[in-house]
Amino acid sequence: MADGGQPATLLIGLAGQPNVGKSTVFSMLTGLNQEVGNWPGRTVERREGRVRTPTRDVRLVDLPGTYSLTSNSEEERIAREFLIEARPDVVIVLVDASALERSLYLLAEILMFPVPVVLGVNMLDVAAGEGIEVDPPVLATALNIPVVPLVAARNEGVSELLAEAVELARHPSSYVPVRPDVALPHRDVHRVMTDLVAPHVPAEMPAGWAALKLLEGDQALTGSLPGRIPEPDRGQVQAILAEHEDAVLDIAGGRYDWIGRMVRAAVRRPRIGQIGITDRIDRAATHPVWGMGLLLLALALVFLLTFTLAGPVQEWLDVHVVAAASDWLRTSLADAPAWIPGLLADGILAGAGIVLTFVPILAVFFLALGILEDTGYQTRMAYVMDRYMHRMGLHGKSFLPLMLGFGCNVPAVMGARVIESRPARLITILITPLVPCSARLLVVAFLVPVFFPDHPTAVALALVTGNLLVLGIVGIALDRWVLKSERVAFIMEMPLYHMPNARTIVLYAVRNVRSFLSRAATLIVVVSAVVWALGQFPGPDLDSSLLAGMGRALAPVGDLMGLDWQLIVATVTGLIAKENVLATLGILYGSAGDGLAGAVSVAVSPASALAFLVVNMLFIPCVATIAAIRQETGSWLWTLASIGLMLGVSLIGGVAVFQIARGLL
Amino acid sequence: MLRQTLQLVASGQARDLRAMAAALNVAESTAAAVLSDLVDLGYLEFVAGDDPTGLDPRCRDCPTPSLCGPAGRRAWVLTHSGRRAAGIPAGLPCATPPAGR
Repeated sequence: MADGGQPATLLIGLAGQPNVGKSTVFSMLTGLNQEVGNWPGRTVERREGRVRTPTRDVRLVDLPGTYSLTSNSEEERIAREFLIEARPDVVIVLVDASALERSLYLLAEILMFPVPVVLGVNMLDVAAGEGIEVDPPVLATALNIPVVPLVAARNEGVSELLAEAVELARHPSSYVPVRPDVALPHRDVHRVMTDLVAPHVPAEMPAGWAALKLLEGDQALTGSLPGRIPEPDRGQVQAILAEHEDAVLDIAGGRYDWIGRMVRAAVRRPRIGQIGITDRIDRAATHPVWGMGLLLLALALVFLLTFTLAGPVQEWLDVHVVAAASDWLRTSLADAPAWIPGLLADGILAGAGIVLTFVPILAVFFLALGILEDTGYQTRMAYVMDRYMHRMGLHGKSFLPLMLGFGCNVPAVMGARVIESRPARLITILITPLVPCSARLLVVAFLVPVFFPDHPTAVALALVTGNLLVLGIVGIALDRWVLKSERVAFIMEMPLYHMPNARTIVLYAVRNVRSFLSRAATLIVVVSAVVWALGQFPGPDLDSSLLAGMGRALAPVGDLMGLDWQLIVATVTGLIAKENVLATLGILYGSAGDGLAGAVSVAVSPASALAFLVVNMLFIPCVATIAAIRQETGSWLWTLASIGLMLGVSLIGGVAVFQIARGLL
Repeated sequence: MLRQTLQLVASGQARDLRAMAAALNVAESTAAAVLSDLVDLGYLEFVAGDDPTGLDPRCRDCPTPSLCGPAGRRAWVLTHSGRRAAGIPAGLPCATPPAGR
């Protein structure tokens, strides 16, 4: 025995969460005097070392890194068994100064054991680098336990940490820490539970801790402890557990409240300028009124940039490349069978070629979207849209799929599977095709300046706004009168605003343009060839072709919207993929001479053009989306309902817009 | 703090992580840790904005696949237990978020 009747060798445990520098401290203290093996009966590594100090010898045990002391993992069970069964003289708890709030959670749990604790605040240099100032003396006062500052990586404060632990072991009676308490709603319940279990827990197990773990629903204790408690106490324990299944909220919540108090006392975290700027911008960007205004403004800028920068280039390509190439092909192949120049010039070049003139529009469009994403604004668009969707019973889980819908409706429909509530899931799936996907926005970006060269931005913005209004009206109607869905509450993470990175934005645009072109090279070429073939047979001209016959069959409907059979056929080919609308227009109106723009400006009136654009914004989605709807609803009935809904909405929209616009334009 | 977090989510008073941290008077990392604990306890569910191109072969035909995965779209929703603990009776709507933040 050493002086004072204490054992000659102290047993000290070294605890901490993963990545707080525990191994570094252990190695620095023990050097080569380490034994490495496994914890008895476990596969987890156990490291123990011996340290000689001026006053005492120390057995230092490195406990597995754990975030808490629940029984969810082997490491957590080992750590708490060590505290209960080995009864160390002192436990050193190591925390990361740069993530003190997270690190203190383990301390909050360890303080519930009757074992003196010394706190080592490591990585002070990292914290200082991040502008976080930790005041160890203030923390020591707040916790009423010894606190040692250290930078283990530079061997600063490590020996002082051990010295403090040895000193505490000499005077354990002076140890009266400020422990976390259970939050008020369950404080009395905890006391009652402690009194009930105290006579029956093993001698080495603190009753208060056992009661806490029972109320938290700890798997190991709820499985073993009630069996040790005789009736009638056992019945009472089980009744309390059944009645207070949410007690864990007040127990873990009490720990977080305690952590909050400690951190507020001892940590100074300077407000980072970037956060201040983000908050200031977000006051407007996420405001219910101004936020929606900014969203529309952002979309308007995207269209304005696209039309201003890319529009002239697209026109030049249309007239001087596609139309010129078309003329050249006809001349060059004058001696070949008539169907060869026809297929190449009037079919593939007129269809896929028109889509290729689209590249400048695509590039600017994606560059503008890339800027919105890279600055962090795109997430705010989702946030603002959620407020809007709130009105139609679509929250949280619904907004994510719908936000995906702005990219492509297929993943949006598939994303609806995360919604448990069937009515909410069905509403989401039904209205997803009303979200203007990027392909439809691209069609708008291409066609609006063709039809309305004087006011393309205003018309494009009006189309998107109108589309969103229809989305809202249909969603509200479905929610209120058909499906009566349940609301889902949510919280999301929004990135800080930052200066966009040019390379990131360019890569984003290049990736999307390349993806679009590879599609144009396959699907659109095939569809162009098929549309051209249907337009040639049985001949002798387009007006007497199969395609014209199919289009004229729908003429009575088209007449209501001012759409001729060419516009109807173009809309229908969009069922395969929305970009085919452009390719089909190129084939049907021809790309020679003044190009597509020149041809349609003569053939289509402004009222018909507006109705055509509205119909295409609201029309039945592409086949991939329809297939996704069938798969996700598991029902042909709901799939047909979705098709019927979109068809009805687009026809009503087209007729209304044509009839109104005819009188105005 | 956990119960207060659930109530803030349910009421719509804190719709993003920074607003939540400000309402709880803690650092954003702590608010994230609280959310993570609530997920572990079954009161919240993490809903990620995963890149759907990995989910279904049909997405490979999408002309603009990368548009589906913009950054910073982590989100959490209340589970049935979360709604109960936040005091929302089943079937009743959550409160409409207040104007501004």
